[in-house]
Amino acid sequence: MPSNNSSFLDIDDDLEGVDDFAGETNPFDDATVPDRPSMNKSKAGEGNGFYGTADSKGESAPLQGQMDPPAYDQVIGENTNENGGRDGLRPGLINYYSRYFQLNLTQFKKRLSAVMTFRNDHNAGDNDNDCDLYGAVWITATVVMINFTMSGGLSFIINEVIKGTRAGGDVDRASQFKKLLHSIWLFYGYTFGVPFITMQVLQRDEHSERNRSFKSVPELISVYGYSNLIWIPVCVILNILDMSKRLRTVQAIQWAIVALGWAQSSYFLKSQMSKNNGEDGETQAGGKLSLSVIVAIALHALFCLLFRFIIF
Amino acid sequence: MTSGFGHIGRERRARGESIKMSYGRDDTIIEPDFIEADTLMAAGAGSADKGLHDSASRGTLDETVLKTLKRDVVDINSRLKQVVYPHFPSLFRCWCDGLGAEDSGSSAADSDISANCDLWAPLAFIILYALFVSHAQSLFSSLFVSSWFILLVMALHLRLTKPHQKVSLISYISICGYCLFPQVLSTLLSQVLLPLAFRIGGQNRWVVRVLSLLKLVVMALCLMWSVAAVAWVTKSKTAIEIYPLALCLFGMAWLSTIL
Repeated sequence: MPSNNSSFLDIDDDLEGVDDFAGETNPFDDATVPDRPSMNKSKAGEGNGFYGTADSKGESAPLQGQMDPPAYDQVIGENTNENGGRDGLRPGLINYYSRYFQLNLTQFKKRLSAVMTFRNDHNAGDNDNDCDLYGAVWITATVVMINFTMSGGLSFIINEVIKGTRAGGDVDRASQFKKLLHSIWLFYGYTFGVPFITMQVLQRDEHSERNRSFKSVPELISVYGYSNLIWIPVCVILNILDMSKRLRTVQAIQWAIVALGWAQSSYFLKSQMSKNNGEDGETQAGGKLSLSVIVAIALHALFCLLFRFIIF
Repeated sequence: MTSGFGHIGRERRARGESIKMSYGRDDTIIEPDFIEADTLMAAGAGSADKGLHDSASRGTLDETVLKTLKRDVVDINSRLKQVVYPHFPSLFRCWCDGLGAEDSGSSAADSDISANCDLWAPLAFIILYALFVSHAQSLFSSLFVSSWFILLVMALHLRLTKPHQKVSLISYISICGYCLFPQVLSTLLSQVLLPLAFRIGGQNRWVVRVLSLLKLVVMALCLMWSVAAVAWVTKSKTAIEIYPLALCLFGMAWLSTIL
């Protein structure tokens, strides 16, 4: 239908085209990325700041809304109605794992002291915040780093700083990197792999009432991770003793220290895995260990032997 | 058709009129899209470097390679000025001041952090680092890969411990990459310049002792510098957040000292 309006902006030309859809709602309206409030603010005052200058790059500004990852609260909020918040996230998402890394310093210190004092307060009340993978990852990383750096560092200090002789190319770097690689696979493999086996054993045990019921594997990984704490001092001492490895007494002392480490960490594992209901628990369990805990301790002994033979 | 509207729009905008088009119906008013003038951007970049402002209209085809490289270097340098350099002279005092100023200052910084996402500087730093440490021998590739891996681990740690910040993994890699700059300096000193001094000093015991101690001091200083920088820029305050970053950077610093 030709229009009576003679304005050149009136473009209804009776032909098929975009103007036919002028009366319909724009389907792309839903997909519009909302403007970020910060983009409309003047950056004049922030010109010297790191972020201010970043914003002055014109090309990156329009992409901001699309490049941002979904906010944690946003993702959590979306799932709240379905499966109860964080539990609703799929395991593939980074935000799913971030709950295992949310802890503050006092909490962390409390857990570290619990390892040393064998305190078992898992049955005290809230188990929700009891599990973190932060300790498992970074305590193990510390152990690996000590194994990697200490022997090289000690020989560097003794030879170059104290004796004043330049080692040059004589440094045994191959053994340092072997230690690094072996420590990585042994410690991370043990901390993150063996709990899957132990979990199955614990669940299938016929005396499972004696054991603490772990809700998930990460909870058990957390226990294994914190049990690695004892290997920090053990590795420091072993590395120092390793400087004079040829002496028999030194080797015997190394064995003794590894055995001590094994005893401490397996006692910790046992105290965490067994049920501890105060007096009631003691009378029920009668000091006996269930088969599953014995299996876990045997696996731990195997790990300690491997540690002794492969790394030192 | 769009270009036609654009033409009309430009004409009208030049006259300062508001533009509304009716498509044959009175109730349908569509405002055409216009590319906003760059006044906002220009205001934002008012105090920033000229080099950075130029990069907004980046076209590398009609300029010399030297010019492009120079602009990139200026770009990296201007960011380093903001992130890394300020923490050198008095390290942790500066870091604390930075945290205080930041708390009172912009909350917009939170959201703008992801805009700063270039991997060019981390790539340059890692190549330099691997080159210095390996002396351009076969070790280069493993150092290159492991450096990227360390950056990834740092970024993952930051992403996991700070899920409430809307910053992507790549941005964290970029930020951590900028903080490798002190490591590159440390590597340059301990792998290139100090060995030259070794040659001059020969095998004199005291020279070896002093130079070895210097190596350790340089490593410690640069490690503190980069840890302070990364802690400030990612707003990591507690030991829980800083320790893993420091451990990763220590690994890199150690490699550069001992190899």
